[in-house]
Amino acid sequence: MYSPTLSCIPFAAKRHTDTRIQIMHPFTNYLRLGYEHIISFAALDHILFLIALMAVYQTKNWLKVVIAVSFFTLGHSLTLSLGALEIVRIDTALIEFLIPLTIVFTALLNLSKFGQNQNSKVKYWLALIFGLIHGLGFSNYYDMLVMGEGNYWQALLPFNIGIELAQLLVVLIMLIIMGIYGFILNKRIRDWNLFISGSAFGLALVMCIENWPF
Amino acid sequence: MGIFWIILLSLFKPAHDFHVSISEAEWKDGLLKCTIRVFSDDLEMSLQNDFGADYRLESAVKDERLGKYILKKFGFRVGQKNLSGEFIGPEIENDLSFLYLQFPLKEAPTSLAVFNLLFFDSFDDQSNIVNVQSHSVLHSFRRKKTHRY
Repeated sequence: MYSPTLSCIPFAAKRHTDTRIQIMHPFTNYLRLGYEHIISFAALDHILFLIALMAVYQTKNWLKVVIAVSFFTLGHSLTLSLGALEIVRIDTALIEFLIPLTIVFTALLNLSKFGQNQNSKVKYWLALIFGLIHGLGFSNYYDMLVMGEGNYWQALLPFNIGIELAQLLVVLIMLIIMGIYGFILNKRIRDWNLFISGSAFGLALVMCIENWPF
Repeated sequence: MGIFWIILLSLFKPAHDFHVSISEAEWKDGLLKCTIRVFSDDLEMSLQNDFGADYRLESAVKDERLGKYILKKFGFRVGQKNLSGEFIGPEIENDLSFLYLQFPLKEAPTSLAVFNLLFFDSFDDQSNIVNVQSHSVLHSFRRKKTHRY
């Protein structure tokens, strides 16, 4: 049986000085891939959705924000993981339209009394459903990550965890900003919500129009 | 101001750019066999950069330049020696393409170096993962933050 201990030396790094080659456990590799995908702003619509989702919460309700964001992650992890089953293959053009539409909807909801209720559990379920839609945008990732030797536990699970970690980092940064806004500048979260929801609405609406599928 | 909005909006692409290639390598019977998984549109775009804007992926199947191109960007090294590789061929599908290579190597390597510069010319956020069978993994990536496409 062939099982040498492999040690790998980065030797191509000389030619491209900013090439970093790292040897890691597969789990860490895929985790970083998911994490960096969010952090590198390749998935800015994800971040915009998160910021809109958490706009109504006060910093002291941080746990509710984490729960809502985790429901969102659960949703898009589900559709990404179900990518192999043809049942969830929906027209890409439609998904590209629906994703910004979830942001538009969330921003509008933030203006209503219902949306501003920080104790509402319905928002978690909305985050889950919107997460399902966002996950469909990852449809072409599934084959790349899972084919060949890779499998769910090796590739998709750490990839999803990496995405969740990156999103929690975004949440943390936003909570700090909102904390400064609320406690130090002594402003009302309502004004923050109006500002964020308005911006998110505007950006997402343009994205909807650009991706009009009909 | 208008330019600001155009730049901002160009960052919002619901169909995320996901620039990744994943390769699997395994040594068996004197050969280090390797499959590189790439996104077909990434491959076509990179080939267009080298072979001209009219280049189509369909013609790559019979094009000898493809093998040379891949072997220039991807390879192994054992000890101080670069392994000379052989490009077997591509399998091109709609979303994903598979590139098959083999590197003659008499004995199973006890240590192995990998280089994989695929698409680094084309994308600043390209990540290339190479999984070498035997529970070891090499992850290579490059990121340049000074400018984005």
